[in-house]
Amino acid sequence: MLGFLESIVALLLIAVGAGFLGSMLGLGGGLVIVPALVLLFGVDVHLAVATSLVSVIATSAGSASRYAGQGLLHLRLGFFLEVATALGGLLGAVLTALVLVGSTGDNILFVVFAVVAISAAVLIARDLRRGGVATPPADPLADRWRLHATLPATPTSPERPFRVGRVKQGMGLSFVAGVASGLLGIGGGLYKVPAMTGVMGVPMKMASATSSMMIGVTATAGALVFLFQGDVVPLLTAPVAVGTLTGSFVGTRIHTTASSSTLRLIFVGVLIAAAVLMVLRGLGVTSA
Amino acid sequence: MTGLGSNPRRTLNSAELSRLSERLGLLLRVGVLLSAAFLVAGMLVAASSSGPASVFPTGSTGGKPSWHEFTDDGAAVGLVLVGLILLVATPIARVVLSAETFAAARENDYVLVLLTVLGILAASVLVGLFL
Repeated sequence: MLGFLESIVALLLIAVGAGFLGSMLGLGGGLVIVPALVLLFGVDVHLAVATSLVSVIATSAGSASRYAGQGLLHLRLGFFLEVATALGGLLGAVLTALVLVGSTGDNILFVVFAVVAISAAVLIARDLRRGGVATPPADPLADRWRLHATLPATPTSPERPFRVGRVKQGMGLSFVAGVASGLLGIGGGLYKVPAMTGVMGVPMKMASATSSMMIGVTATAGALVFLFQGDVVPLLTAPVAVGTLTGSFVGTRIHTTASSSTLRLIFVGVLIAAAVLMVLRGLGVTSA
Repeated sequence: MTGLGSNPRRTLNSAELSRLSERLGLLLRVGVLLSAAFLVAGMLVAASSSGPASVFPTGSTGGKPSWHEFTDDGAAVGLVLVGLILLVATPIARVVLSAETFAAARENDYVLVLLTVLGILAASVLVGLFL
């Protein structure tokens, strides 16, 4: 059993690593934090989800604040979709905090987490998130809600107006992303970004930036449920939140082009390992 | 369409949206850094005092703790709780600031959107407290 100081240091190190890896790949650390807490430290999965969700708020605020200065936040679209993601986040948190309890509930969570982790590993490995963005068909909802926007100019490219479409589908996917967030303690950007790019026609950079902003509110919707249920353990959450924030801060300031595929490989490896171990736990093959 | 009063409805132009983005960015940065300061302070106080035996809860109800397990180290937990409240308050403040800006421009449809988001967050609090 780890002593107090050793626990804090161990949590900080793992959280820094998770935040660093996540920020390099545009993901939060939730997919690493939850299995680390459960599998390495034996934390109850509900508490792990609550802890991770709080740390996701921190990393989201950190990355969104950086994008805000670059004009990459599509504010109207972000606010619009936040209705769906926040509702999803609330529902997901209710499921985890109140419905999926007891050993059966825990096992369901482990298996669902493993499925999501595998889907994340596939997406990252195939880099599907970076697929091309085609202009969607005209959508009167996008006109009504003034969702068309302009990608700001950069030193190497002029500004580019774009049209947004498939608003209902985007809302639906955002809702699912929100449920995943509240259920599993992740940011949900994994689903939000493809929803905005592949489905709604938002350029990748703007979709990533806007997603990072939306994740804050989504995670807050879930975290508030856990906080007032008493599932947020203060001295467990503090090092995890500080660690992921630090790791993500460092990650965004180190731009190493040579290692991005190596990092992707590491992340995929970690996710697959976590998924396998979580599903073994969920199916009762291994125990706490 | 114009509303009543001295400010007719208009939409925020790209410069105004850009300005709002910058203010939101500053708000998020300040909020998260302030929160982190309290979280770090709480950890330092806990580490420097005799501290709890472990950070990992050993509650009798399947690992879920009750709050009184942590009152041994009241100052540290208090500091961390302030940090956590600041952290969850940051995105909420972001929504409020956005709603104010859209309200000033009388983009009332987006004010309604943002108020709906606030309503969902309020519902989260109520669900956490009463369910």
